[in-house]
Amino acid sequence: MGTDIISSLPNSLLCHILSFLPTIDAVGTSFLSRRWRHLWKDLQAFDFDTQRIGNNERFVSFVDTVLSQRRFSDIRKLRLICGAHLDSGNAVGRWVRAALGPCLQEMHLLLYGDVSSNYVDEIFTCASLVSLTLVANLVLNNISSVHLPLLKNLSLGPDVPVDLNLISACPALEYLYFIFDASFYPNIHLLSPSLKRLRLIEARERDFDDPIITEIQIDAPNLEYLRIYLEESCVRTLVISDFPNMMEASIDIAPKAEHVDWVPKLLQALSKTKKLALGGFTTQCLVKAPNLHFPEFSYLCQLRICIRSFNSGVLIKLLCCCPKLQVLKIDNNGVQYFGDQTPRTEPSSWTQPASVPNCVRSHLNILEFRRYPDSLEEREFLAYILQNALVLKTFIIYTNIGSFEKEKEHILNEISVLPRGSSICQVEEFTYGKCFFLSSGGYKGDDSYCFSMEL
Amino acid sequence: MELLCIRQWISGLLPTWLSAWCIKPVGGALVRQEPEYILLALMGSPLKKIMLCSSEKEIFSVEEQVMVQHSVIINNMIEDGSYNHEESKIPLDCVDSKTLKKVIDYCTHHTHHHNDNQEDLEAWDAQFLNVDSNGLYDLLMAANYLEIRNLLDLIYGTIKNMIKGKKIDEIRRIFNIKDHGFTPEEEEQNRKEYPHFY
Repeated sequence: MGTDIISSLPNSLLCHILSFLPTIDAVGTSFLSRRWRHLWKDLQAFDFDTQRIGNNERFVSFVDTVLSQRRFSDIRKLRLICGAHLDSGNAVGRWVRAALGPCLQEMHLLLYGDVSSNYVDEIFTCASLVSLTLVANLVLNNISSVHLPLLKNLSLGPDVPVDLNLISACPALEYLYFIFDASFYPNIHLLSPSLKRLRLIEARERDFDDPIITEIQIDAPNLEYLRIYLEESCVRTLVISDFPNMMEASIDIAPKAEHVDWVPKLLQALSKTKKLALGGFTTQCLVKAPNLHFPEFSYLCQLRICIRSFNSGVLIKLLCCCPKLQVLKIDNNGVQYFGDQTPRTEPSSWTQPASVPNCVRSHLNILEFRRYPDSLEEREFLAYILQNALVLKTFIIYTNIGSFEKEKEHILNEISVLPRGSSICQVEEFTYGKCFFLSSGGYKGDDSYCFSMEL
Repeated sequence: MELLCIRQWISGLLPTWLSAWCIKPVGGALVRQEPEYILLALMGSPLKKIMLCSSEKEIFSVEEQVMVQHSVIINNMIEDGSYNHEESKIPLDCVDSKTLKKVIDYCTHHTHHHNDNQEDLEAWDAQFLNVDSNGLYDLLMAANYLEIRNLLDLIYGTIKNMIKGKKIDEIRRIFNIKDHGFTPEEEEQNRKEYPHFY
């Protein structure tokens, strides 16, 4: 009954839509009807992935055919996921060079295998590039010159031992995603006044001798979003500029045991952030050094904290420094193991704080507790918060995945009878992997098992 | 004394029909409503409305702020003063009532819920675009005409998903392609040479 109205859209519009598709799907539309037969040939954006084709020989033949049949010689965007050496004829180099030109705005290369840098230099001097992704093993580690005046987004992959000064040579850079192997980078210095979003992620197989990163230096005063994940290696020093515009920060750094001086400096630099997530290792040094000075997080609305061994004292101290905190998410990582039934017998180290933290009394809206174990200190902490949180709306509890029904019931019963300072507080209980409603408060949970692994 | 002068000045700025409203009955007597507050309400209030007129001559009243935020065309019209609040309505002869209502729904939701989290917004968008091809086409034409960037991108994404990863026969069904226009020989050859597309 319907008409083929989509095909009646103008060529340019249909081609624009095709440019969002993997190229193999775009080319496939030529079989839809006569109308669609040659539309894909107007494409100037290409996305080739060997996964869809499999066989190297056919992949090379496909890409060559598509590129040779295109109507416009200028390519605006090229995305290529394949092996670095598909054939004896340097196919990848051929395609990259076909794309390089004054109209190229985006290039995303994810190549498996060693790459000789004969076309890499040309990529780094393609002045029209706005977004660049390069994930590959570069054999030569010197990019001789960098001229990327328009580059806003840069993603560099593992095993790319490049000179990070290239960051400074990109005056418009706003987003940097750097995945690296720490054994290549004893020092990391990043200097960029324009940078707004930074992701620094270590990706490496765990060795027995963990390399130590001596120094990380980040000078990016306009940073709004920061994500550092370095749990495999250890950091000795961290030197960072203040971040007055920080909106969201997520930190997972393992400090070398005795070198924790930089932790308070890091917290101070992040003190203007609105959202903060602290990973297990980071909080571990907060716990181990109880005299660490916390700055005041005057704008902090959301705090996610992963604690390996629960310490209510540190939590309360932190809460006292976050006067406007609305959302508190605690992940009790590493306390109980699968099937561990023994209750903790050590005495609780809970001490009643002198005064109720301001945020608990007047701002805390949402409290989430993951991997809640049934033990004394956690329960006392929870009881304290529930009693004093006068505006708490939602309290979500995730029990351990190994917990038996009886155990869960017991926990839930205990919690339901705790006095609540807030009359509108609803309790929701979940287990990892599945969830069920206890109240009609509305489900807004997520299934991520280990939140500190979010990248 | 000065306060009285200011009030008279402000009253002078108000159109006559509104000045009349400044008088309201309170406890049996007629009392003058403070005109400066009414004027301030008109100038500063985000609830100021504008009128949009569909091709079927149906008039829709919508918050000015909502449309200005989303539609480049309407924003330009209001900025360059070609839209007079008291008298005009914006005629949109290319957009029928049903589509215009949907467009207004979209803009209103996204203005009022822009602080919601991403998943909720995406779920709402998916529900919003759960329409047939004709409806989608009409929305696309309207969004294009009014230059509503985020709605356009959303529709492009939807059409893209109708194609991505799907076999030819399925796409033909979704798009309602009844007559593909190939000769039987051509069609057969395509199917033989490129079976993975079918």
